[in-house]
Amino acid sequence: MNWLQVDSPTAAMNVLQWQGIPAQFVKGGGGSLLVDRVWVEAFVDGHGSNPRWVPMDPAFKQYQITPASSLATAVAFDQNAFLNLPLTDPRTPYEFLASNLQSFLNTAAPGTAVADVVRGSSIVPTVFSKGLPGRIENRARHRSEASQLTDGQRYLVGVSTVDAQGVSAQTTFRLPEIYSQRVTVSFPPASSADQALIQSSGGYYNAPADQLHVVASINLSGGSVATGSRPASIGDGHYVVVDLFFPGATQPTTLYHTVFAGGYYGLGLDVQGDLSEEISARKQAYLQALNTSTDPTYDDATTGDFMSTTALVYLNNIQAERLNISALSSTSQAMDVSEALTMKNIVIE
Amino acid sequence: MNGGWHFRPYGWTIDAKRVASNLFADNGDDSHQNQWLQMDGVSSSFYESRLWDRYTGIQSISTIRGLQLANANGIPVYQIDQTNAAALLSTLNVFPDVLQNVQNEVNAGDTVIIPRDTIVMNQWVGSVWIDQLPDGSAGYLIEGGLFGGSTTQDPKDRQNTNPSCSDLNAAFDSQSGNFDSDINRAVAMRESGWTQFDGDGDPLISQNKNKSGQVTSADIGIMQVNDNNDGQTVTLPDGTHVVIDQQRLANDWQYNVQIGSAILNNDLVAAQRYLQGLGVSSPSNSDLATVAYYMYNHGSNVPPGFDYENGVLTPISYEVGDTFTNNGKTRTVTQGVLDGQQNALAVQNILNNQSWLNATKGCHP
Repeated sequence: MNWLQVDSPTAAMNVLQWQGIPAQFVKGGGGSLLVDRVWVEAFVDGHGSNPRWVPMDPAFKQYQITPASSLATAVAFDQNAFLNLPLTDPRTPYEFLASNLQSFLNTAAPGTAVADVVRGSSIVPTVFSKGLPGRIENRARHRSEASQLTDGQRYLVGVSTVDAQGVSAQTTFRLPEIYSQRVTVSFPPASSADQALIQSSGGYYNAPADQLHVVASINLSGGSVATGSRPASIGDGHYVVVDLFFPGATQPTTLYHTVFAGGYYGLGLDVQGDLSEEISARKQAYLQALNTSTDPTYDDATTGDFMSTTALVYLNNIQAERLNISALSSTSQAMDVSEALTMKNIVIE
Repeated sequence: MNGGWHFRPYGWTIDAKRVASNLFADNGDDSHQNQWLQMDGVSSSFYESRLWDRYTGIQSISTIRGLQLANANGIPVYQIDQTNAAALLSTLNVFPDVLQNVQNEVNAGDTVIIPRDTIVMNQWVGSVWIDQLPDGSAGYLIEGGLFGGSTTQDPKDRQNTNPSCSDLNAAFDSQSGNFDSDINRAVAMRESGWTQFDGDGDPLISQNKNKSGQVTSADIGIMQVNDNNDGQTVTLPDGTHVVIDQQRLANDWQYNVQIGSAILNNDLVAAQRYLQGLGVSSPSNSDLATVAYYMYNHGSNVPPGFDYENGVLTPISYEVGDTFTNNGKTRTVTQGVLDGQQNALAVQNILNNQSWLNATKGCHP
């Protein structure tokens, strides 16, 4: 149970089942869980005098967990009070709850801070004194081997644009390909004549809306990976459709966003983990791009990166807030793929 | 620009369709899950508006922000379910599509939390509501079917205006800690000419480049706070610790002054210690400002900039390529060190002459 950071078989089952991971009790009601997992083996030629394949699964690590004190839940979140805060109050819901809890602690347990009563969790390092082990730490039932997973065993993300005539651009990514990457939907000029029109007008947003034709483009880190099959006029309505294919699922979870030709759209996808470092690195790249872009109001390294990064910032903020909530309530946060689309809207006048 | 129809950016929206995480009790008892979900939903909606507030400097609407606005304006916020729908639905003063949505949700057994009247935030007019489902989950909606937040003002109309000079002077006074607030005035004059927003209403941001011309960082707003401080913790003069938020530095001039002054205040404390180490127990404001600004302008990873010669604070003589030791590491004097000394002398000059009194400033009268 420990590698899921919970301390009961029921909680472990809850976490796994909510994420759609096949799991079953080995014995009725508790004890061990049987879970389907994929792990890798690496051929380690420096493994003493006996080079061999060594299983690697970073998920199987042990945690030192300090449960939250009962004081941590002594104050409940008061939604009504939060909704009555003045607009100038900058506190997030967690910060509001934490400040109320601190006020309570000041009376109930003077000298105690919120940080003293929340759940703590840290990874317990494993030291292999005799080199890497020959088998995975948990008991594993070896079902099959493959040199490459099929797409049906992977988490896939389909992105498409749909106009009044149907799908215009479509692509599918493997989730790790686009994790923290810049995925955007834009509407670049449809033809060289349209490109010339933009240039002669002095930029994308200076071009005449009633003459310019554009085409939907799905972009990964600045490169177009799918282009619309037909031109669109500025302001034409589209859907950006995101299909999330769970491994083994036959039907995707489908999300629809309404967008308009001429806007710029950033797709954020977040699985887990703190994205702060990636966001910080992207910020530097964004500043540099601003300095060199010929049309910073409409290119992928500037506008696209701003849109994509803000989507990731949003999802990262939510995750950080949830981690704080879980620390108060002695809970584990289980995450599946979260998705948000940021939009740079346009007006025609 | 050509004739005919034109288009331009009008604002920003986030449409968060799937925020997929769940909290599970370590001990398997998830009886409190609805309470966690409620707080989680409120947070998600709250951040939808905060995102654009911080990144664009334009007030933004989300469900939670709209409900807070309704309460602030004295608009009743109803909680409607099947037991009171007959009495309350007819009193809603909202657009027909909103009313229809609410009616459908209540008919399905949901509970809807909605302001009685349509709300207005800048140029945005509409409704926000929470649709609570019987299973404890909830949707946080704003008019237009979005599960998200939007800016509420045309960017060309945004109120990113520089503060009045009297407001700015008051901010310098209130944020100066135990030091003379004229030091803040002199530093802000040197850094930005007391300017938070440029002529287009965009935050004043100056880029710093390396020798190859690559942008390495940016300085923001009135106090030109370097963006490498983003996420760092600074101690205010009253001892409060604040984590620095880059977007807020760009869009909130008062915050910019607060953070810049706090950094300067810490440099002033360090300058005081440094000068006392040189044998001057009560250094003048002029000397304090000079040494502190040398640190503020160039960071701490530099050789000492000034020393006393015949009782007068004087730049230490360096040449580019000289070496010095910092934290046990040998470093080389760059042109930036020499520039930093000159910049510090410029601030000294501004302070001694109170040059801001007659200068053109970004703040308005």
